Amino acid sequence: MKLRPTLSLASAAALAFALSACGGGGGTANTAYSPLTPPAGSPATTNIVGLGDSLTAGEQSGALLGAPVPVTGSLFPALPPTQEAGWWAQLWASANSAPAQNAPLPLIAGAPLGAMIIPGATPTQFTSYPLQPCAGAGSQNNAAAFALSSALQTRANPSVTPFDLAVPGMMAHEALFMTGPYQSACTIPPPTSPQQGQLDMLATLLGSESLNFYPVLGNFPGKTAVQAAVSLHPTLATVWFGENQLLKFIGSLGQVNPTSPQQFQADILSIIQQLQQAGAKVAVANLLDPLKAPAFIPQPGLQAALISAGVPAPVAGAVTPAIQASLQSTYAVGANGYITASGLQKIALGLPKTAPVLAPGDFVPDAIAAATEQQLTALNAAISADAQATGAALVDIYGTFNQLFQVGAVPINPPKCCSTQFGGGIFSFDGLHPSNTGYALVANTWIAAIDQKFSLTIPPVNVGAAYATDPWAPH
Amino acid sequence: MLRRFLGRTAPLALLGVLCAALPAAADPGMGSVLGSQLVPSANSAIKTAIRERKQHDADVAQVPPIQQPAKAPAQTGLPIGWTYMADFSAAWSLGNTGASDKLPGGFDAMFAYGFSPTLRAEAAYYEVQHYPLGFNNGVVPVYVQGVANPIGTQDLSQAGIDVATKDKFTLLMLEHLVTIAHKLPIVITPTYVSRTSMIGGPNDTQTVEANGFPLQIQARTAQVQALAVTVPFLSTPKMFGTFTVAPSWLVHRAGLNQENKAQFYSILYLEYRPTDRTTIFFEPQSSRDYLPADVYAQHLNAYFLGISHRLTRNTFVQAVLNSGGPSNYKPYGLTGIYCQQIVPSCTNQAITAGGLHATQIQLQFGIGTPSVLPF
Repeated sequence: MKLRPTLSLASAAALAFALSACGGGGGTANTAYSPLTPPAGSPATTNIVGLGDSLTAGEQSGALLGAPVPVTGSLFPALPPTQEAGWWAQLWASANSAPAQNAPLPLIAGAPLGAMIIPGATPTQFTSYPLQPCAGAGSQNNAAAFALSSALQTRANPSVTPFDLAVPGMMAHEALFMTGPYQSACTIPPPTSPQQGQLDMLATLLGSESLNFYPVLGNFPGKTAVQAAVSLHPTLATVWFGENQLLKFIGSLGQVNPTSPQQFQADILSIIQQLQQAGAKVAVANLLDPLKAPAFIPQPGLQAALISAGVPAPVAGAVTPAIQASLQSTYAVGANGYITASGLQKIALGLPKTAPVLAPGDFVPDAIAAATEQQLTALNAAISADAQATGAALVDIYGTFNQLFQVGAVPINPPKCCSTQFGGGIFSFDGLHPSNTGYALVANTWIAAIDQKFSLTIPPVNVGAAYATDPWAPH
Repeated sequence: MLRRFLGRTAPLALLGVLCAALPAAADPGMGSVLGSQLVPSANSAIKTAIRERKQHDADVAQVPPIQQPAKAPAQTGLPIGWTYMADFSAAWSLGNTGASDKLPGGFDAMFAYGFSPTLRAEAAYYEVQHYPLGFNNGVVPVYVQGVANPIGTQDLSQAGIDVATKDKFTLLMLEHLVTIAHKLPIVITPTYVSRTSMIGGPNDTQTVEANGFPLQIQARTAQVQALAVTVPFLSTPKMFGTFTVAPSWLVHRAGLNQENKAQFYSILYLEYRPTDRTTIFFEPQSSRDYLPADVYAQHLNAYFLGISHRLTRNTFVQAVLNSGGPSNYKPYGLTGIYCQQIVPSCTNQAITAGGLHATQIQLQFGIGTPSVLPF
């Protein structure tokens, strides 16, 4: 499989920025799953069920993949599996004293769902696989995923009932009421009119859950994610929704606000209660601040980002003030706004012009950034209220990442690793989804909250071991 | 921005889909078929019984000479033997129903056999056309399934929606004429009604949003059993009036139905006959429609105002204005659109609707006996 000539860091980041925050991957086991005997003292871990989005599915670097896929033209000999590296698989492995490869995941094999961003021929160059979502090498799973009749062909274990039911892109309301993908075809036709282009934007916003719905939930035809979870008689259920509501709000420049905080609170409450009525102990996580992830570049950091993307420092220094002025006047992106990876790519490729032409998804105006922070506060308050009302364990993901963002680094292998910067080892190359190391930190946040709330003894994940084999972290 | 684009694109996207099938429960509802088929038949029996009773009283007052043989007892009540009626109808909707308000033609037929003056079996087929309000005007929110907040709005006047509706009723009735205290004739009619419909197309199948999920139902298909009692309250040479009450039950629940308690139809009938050939009638009714699209029965308030004229012994023409709508389902018409798919457009829609209200004029040309004329 020959890859396209390598792209710049900026274009890699552009590829990485998926509005739907999601795509996911990997694992290698394809044997039928049967619940394992839980470790002593952990009767709640017999049937662990996961509900959520790409973060729970184990997406990394823009794709979901469950088995390695050899590639050429990359520093990676193979696309790494992502699903077994996710926090849910790591939690399951700790709870069951078993390898993460044995976790009951909907393993994607043969090609990723989505497009995985990987290094090119050199460490500063990036490419993606597949290059085209629905055509050419590596696109077969993206093409097959939309139809129930063919979606399970994307799986290494099509007959296995998955217990990680997280669908990349999914929102809480969708988990309650979505019974099929929104899009009937792989390709979204190129815009033929302004109206068509707008409809494409909507399709893009809702595209990830359409792509991933049947590959994950194809074993439960006609059921919603919540209904599927209830049918598995979970003893422990994890619930983590909300990041996609923020990202869709950001990506549409505030035009699409899928759920009000009140509705979100009602939805999360309903999900928790349905799972509890099915007999599960439930843990629910709050949300990290997506604008702090490396996919979003603060406008004041534009010059450094251009340099990181390969623009010579003198050039970057010379053009940045004019570009920042243009961003402010044309797109209302000031000192509190952001450029996304795709926006950075357009700016870099457009040099020496200093008036970039950007589209929704390329930038975050100050006002939208401020509104996003308000939304984040409201959604996290809703999650806390639901946890308190139901007795569910509250997993403080916001707190964990807020601390990471403030400190900026975790001394796992200093000075090489790990920081929250792009390529710093906490996040994968899409700048949104954690690396193996980052997911290990997430898993331990979940485990600590679950153990404390339910008096369980699930051992923490070995973060050092996760880092040792982490393809996304510097070594 | 999205709202603007949906405002432009949604009409095109919706056009092909909504034309196929949308609900229409407006109309006078089940009460219309009872009012048009059951009540007239019961009325004719009661009229005959009253007329014969008056004649009998007159005969008693004028006792014939002893040499003259007494008259044989007159037939009182329901006609014996076969009776029939058939008509074709055209209808026009009234009110703001938009551009697509053409109503289809209709057909009615009735055959009955009287076993005795007090017992008759009747089979009838009845069609009523209508076009509910609220489908071609107003602005409604557009949702994507699973996304809580609306993604835009739809101007229904730009959507080209066709909800021209033809309801079809098949009735089986067994009429019993009972005279209370030898003076008050009433008619008791066990009735079975099977109904279906065509909504902007060949059937009434549609997808509705129910409890957050899309559900495909036959929106206006139901079977109902009722026990009607018709009682006269006015009888003069020029005027006649009855009151009919009919407790009814669904044969079975379907679609969104939540219960099957007894529903009561109340139909008042009042007529005036200026000539022997012409009858003017007014028929207000409080009826209950309980269709698969209804969580609970719709409380319909409706009226019929008509004139019937016999052209020859066996032909007639009849014009009827009727209007009706529920008091417990508002607002009227389409209230929301839920896109199940968005590529290449908003397709596979489910809808939500409130109450359905319609007003129409129906013109009937028939043979036999029009429903409101006495046999």
